[in-house]
Amino acid sequence: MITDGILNIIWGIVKGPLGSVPDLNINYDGLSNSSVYQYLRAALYLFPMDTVQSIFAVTATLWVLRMVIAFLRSLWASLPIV
Amino acid sequence: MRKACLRRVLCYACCLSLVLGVFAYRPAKAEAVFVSPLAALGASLIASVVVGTTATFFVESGAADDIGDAIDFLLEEYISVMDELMGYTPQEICEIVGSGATLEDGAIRLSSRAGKLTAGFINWLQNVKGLSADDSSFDISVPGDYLVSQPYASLGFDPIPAEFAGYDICISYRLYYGDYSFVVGSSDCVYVVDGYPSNGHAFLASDVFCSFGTNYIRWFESTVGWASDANKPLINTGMHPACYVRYNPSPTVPGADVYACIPVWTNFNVYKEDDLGNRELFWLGEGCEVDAAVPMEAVTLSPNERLTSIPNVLPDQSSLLIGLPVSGLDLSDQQGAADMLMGAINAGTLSPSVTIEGQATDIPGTGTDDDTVIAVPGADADLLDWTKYIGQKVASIPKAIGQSVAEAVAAAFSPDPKLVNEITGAFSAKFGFVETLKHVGDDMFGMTAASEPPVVWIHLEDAEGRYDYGGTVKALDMSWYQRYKEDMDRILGGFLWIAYLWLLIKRAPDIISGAGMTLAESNYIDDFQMVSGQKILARRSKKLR
Repeated sequence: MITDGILNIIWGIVKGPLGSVPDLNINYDGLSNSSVYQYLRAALYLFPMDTVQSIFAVTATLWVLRMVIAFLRSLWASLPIV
Repeated sequence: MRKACLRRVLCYACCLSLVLGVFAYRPAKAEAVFVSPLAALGASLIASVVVGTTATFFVESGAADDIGDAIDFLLEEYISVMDELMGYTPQEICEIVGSGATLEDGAIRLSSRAGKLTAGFINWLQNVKGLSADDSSFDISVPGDYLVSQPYASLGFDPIPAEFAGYDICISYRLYYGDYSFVVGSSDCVYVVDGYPSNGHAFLASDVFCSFGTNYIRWFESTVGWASDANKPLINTGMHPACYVRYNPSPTVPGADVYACIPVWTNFNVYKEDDLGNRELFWLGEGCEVDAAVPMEAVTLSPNERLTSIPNVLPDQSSLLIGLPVSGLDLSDQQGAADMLMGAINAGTLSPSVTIEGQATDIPGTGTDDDTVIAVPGADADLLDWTKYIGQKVASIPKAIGQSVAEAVAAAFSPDPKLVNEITGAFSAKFGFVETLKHVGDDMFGMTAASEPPVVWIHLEDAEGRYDYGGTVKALDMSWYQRYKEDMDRILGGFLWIAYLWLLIKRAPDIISGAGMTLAESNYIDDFQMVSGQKILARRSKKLR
């Protein structure tokens, strides 16, 4: 109910400009057949990508954690009793 | 000051609401019910055991040709009740029963969990639908609300055109709804002799599940028949081709199913097929449009049809073994075995037996510890029982309060799935490249030792000029590394983790304190300022000195 209201407001603002945005598509076949793409894949094949993915995931989680801590700290700082 | 404070509070309220919305949002349940052959078979067999070896199932409109239809209907209804009562989605129920059912030599074994659900089906058949073990037949009341309109379309071939001489004639049946279209079914192909089908008649019948988004639509029946009567068109549609439609506009609300006729276009495609199965489109026919202005009618279960508890028929740590006295079952072909058993049930030649293997102690419950059924003590119960009962009830109060609060929060903050679908659909349509990026991500980051090694190709045939440089050649083939990749990934991964963890430890104080991504420091007092009269923060320094 409440979230619907907020989403409706945001969506009402965004909907108009979004309609004028052209469809943005990238042709996957064309991209994957390009030489640069294939050489990049060949280079990345040497990397342990599961480890890289895990590290990215941990990093992203830590970002979220820091954002939450920062939000809570700012919430705390905004209280008049502090 | 007050304005700033108000803005801040409003900002926090918006953030909190959206965060709660994210957590409270649950995607609408997919309503399409796909019953695995084994699940339907297990339920059918047990129902067959209950009603006896000569079970005959009837639907309201007449005898069912296939007992599976009747059982499927009951099973589907039961699943919807279980969904409502126990919180299982139809998919979960089918997965539990399907994955818990295994065919053995001459028996089908249901695991404890699957057995409980199936046993609940027996109880439901007995106590809710009024089926008893003494019954030799059982009337299944099929709601007549599905039939809302009877459009009629016909194709007039009398006789069948000469082009079909020596060919089979086949008919397929396509439905259109908005941008969707799909073939509902195909008729049996019939060899044409002297302008008439060799068997005098043939029928097309379909019973398919179709899903449009989160709404669930099902065509119950469509028939195309060849009539041998000379006064009728040789090929005609037998019955109301497109109007057995169930439309649920709000799948998350139990009992909100609306049976309605929605505008659907139909047409018939007529093919001719040679002996080798090669098919050629002969005629693409327009069909009929179903009347859109049909009143909708809500269908809900009456209260006495609701299942209130699952019986304690199957103890934990046990399995239900259903003996199948049918020889020649090919257990490697589950679908074939299911068909064979279903045929035996239909013919009334199967007399399966049910035994419970494992612990014989009766344990109350419905499959999970949380669903324990608490029996109310009788009049002769002692005070201790009552104390226990009251204690259990009191202990359940916090859980009930928690559930109520969770439901209230979900109701207040959970966004409307339709709105979410509209937003996500609009963004998906506009930014189709995101899907491509996902593909690219899978290509780049999904490479493992088991996946196909990348190969770089050069297309020499695309080269411009007067010379022929050849075709496509390999420029770089990484398959040589595949044999080493698994071990090398471990070694490199170890080093990466060591380096990363070292950096992480160095940054631990910042992470714990929720510091920003960048830090500024200064040795000059001018770069510091007082905030709120209490805190000193480096605000102006943007770089290290």
